[in-house]
Amino acid sequence: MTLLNIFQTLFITIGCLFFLIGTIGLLRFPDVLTRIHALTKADNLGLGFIVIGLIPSMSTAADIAKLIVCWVLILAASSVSAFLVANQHIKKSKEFKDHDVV
Amino acid sequence: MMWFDLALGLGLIIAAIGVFRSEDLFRAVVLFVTFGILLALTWLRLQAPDLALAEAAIGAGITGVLLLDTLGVFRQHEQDINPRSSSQLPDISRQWAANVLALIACISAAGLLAWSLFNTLKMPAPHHNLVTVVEANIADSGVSHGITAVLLNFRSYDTLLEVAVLLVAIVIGIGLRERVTTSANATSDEGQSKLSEPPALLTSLVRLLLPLLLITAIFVLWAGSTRPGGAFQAGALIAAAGVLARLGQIDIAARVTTMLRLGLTLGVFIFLIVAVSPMLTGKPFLTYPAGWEGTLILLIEFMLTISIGLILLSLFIQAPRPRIPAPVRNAIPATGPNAIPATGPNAIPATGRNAIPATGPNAETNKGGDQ
Repeated sequence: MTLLNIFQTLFITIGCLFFLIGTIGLLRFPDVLTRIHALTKADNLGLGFIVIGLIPSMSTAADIAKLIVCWVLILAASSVSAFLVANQHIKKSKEFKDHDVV
Repeated sequence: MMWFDLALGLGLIIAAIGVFRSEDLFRAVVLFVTFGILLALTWLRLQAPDLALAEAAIGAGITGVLLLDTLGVFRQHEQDINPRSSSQLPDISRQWAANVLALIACISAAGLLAWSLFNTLKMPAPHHNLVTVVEANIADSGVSHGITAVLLNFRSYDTLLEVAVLLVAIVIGIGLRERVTTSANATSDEGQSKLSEPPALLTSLVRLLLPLLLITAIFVLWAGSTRPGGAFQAGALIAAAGVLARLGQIDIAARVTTMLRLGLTLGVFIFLIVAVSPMLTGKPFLTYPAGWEGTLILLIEFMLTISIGLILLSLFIQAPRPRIPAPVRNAIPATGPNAIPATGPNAIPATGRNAIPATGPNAETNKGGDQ
């Protein structure tokens, strides 16, 4: 086991741990907003760690670039979709409150 | 890797059961998409990357979007009409009949499966391995990827019919849509104004993703001749780009224009021209002229990509909105909101407020009269 292998194992393990934490958060947190928080923050960090851990295994620069592009795209997509879900949730709950008052 | 495969297989079964067992339709759709992604992974593990790509793009992606869209329409109508109505439940005898029918269908399907399995086991092993046959003839096909060679050369007849089926589906979809909109103009207006102003974050993401998606689609199409890829996968990517663009309010298939119709039929049209033209020189249907196979396959695939992308996108956008059945809409407001005021707020004053003054002050005045 070389130093590089240890480094890779460490990073991928940390990444998986973050995914695990994110999933526990998704299951245990009480409402939409906290769940989004758990999913998007922890999972994207975990994905980053896994990507860093995988980079030394790639043979060409193009493969490394593809991995990084994947990470960036998932970051962008998940942050925007989290924003959309949260936005809709806030809108809906406001409507609900207005109805309650009336 | 065995544990991974085992988990994958179990996950597939659990997701499939979940789709059928879940009471909540939204959960069922999400589980269906999960099932599609697990299935794509399974194809990858079975070393069928072409199928994996198609399953991920069409099975999980486009079908998921279509199902979610349908669910959204259902939800809207559920808000209009009150879903609590016991009259919609089928009576017990009907349920019994349905159960018996389902049982018969299950038994016959199981019998058919068992019979075909039994026959397959009894059959002698095939004389020639299809994989080696394809590999032996691939030099003549014009492409170097086996799957594409089968799809567009050795068995191109199948592909032609598949695309024709897609075209028929969208023709029927548009036809139904036009019938609905001409019979009630209000529904089309509702469909147009339904999309509210999208958040700026979404439009900027769409702007970022659209070129990337188009480049990927062209790459997948180009890769099809040497690697896993091809027209169907590229078309699904284009359709996905179209759906995203619609979310960002850049709608390329909102109206059924002549251009859209041309785009929808382009693939089948070019395919048919290439298929029929050898017949002019006395050759059979669907034979590529020698030396031109690669070019013609690429031409067909390019046109097919455009058409498949537009067809899938139009299926999403042009699909007819279901109309609320008229008797349900009329019956529920009549028994619901109207019925409750009649027995509720009106009934209490009649027996309460009016009754007490009648026995109260009147009784006293009666007493006074006596005195």
